Amino acid sequence: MPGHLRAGRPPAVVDVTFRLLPYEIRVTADDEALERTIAYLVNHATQDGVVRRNAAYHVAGNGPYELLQDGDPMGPARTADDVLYLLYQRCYGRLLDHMTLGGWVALHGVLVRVGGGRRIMVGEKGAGKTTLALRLLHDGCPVEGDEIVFVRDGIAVALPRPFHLKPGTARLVPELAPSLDALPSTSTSDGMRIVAFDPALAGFDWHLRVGPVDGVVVLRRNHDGEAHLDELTALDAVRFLVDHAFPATESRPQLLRAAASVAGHVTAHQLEVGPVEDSARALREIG
Amino acid sequence: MTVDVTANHPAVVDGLDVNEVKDGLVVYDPKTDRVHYLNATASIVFSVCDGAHDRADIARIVGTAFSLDEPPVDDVDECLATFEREGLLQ
Repeated sequence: MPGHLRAGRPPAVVDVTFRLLPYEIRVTADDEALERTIAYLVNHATQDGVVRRNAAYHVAGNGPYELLQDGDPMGPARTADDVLYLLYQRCYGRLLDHMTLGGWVALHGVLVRVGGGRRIMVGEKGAGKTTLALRLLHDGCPVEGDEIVFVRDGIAVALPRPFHLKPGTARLVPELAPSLDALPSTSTSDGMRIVAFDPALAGFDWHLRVGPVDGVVVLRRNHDGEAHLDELTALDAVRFLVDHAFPATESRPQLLRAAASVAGHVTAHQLEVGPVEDSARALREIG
Repeated sequence: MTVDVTANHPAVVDGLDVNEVKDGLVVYDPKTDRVHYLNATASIVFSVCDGAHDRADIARIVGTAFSLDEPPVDDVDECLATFEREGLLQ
């Protein structure tokens, strides 16, 4: 039992539990005002595999706050945003460390079932990964994740994180507009509002699977032009994955093995991302 | 094109990390921390650089693999020269 629950304190006002692949995370807080802040972290995805580890975090006080992990002090937090930052770093940082130690390589990308197969979509920052993922989701394509895909030995699993929506997303995916204001959000250091969109809460079947992929799609930004899909060699797909791996501690050979195992023997395409509807259509017509 | 005479029976260096993909090889050289992406032709040349085949053998093998009328001697020489320049040959 976490230390903060043994200490004879009154029950926490906020109490949420969610999974991050092998971890079950429980976050409690004394301050009701933190409920929406903490909701930003939470996902409701169904996830393959079993829970192997637990972590409990408690946010004590009503501001300024004191954070505890499994009863041990983690550090102070002045504001709700500070709380979110610390919890986010700790929860996702532990998961990334755990996956890396297990031989998984983290790639920046989307994992989606489209065009008759499960595909990893990778692209430069600003290529439109999340917007395209949201368009595909609303078009009936199951999207597992929009940010990081872990790969190893030819299999992949997405990071179970709500999709982070930037301003302007609702203009490109209008179905989102009515619900955006009610969703948890935070602000970046330069004032940009980022909204956390949980597909499961929006009524979609959000299931994170651990399994092989059927293809890789490299996204190239072409927002002022037309959507255009071409085949790509496996060599070029592997090269792109290697060049766009998430900075982590894995060795070069480990990264190359993982990229070759997941992209070296499947179909690969390059999509010049034009208008989002046309781009989504091009992907649906693969195969 | 100059090819080192010692590479008449060329052999790749030891210790390379080789990953096969459907249209080539991804080769990592830990000594130089460099990654080499070899296309289908270069992959065949690389695979038979085992010290047992001379340049003519290698050209013949590549020619057979791609159903060519003549062994692509010049192309193989160029490929071997690149391998040598990149430190992939003993």
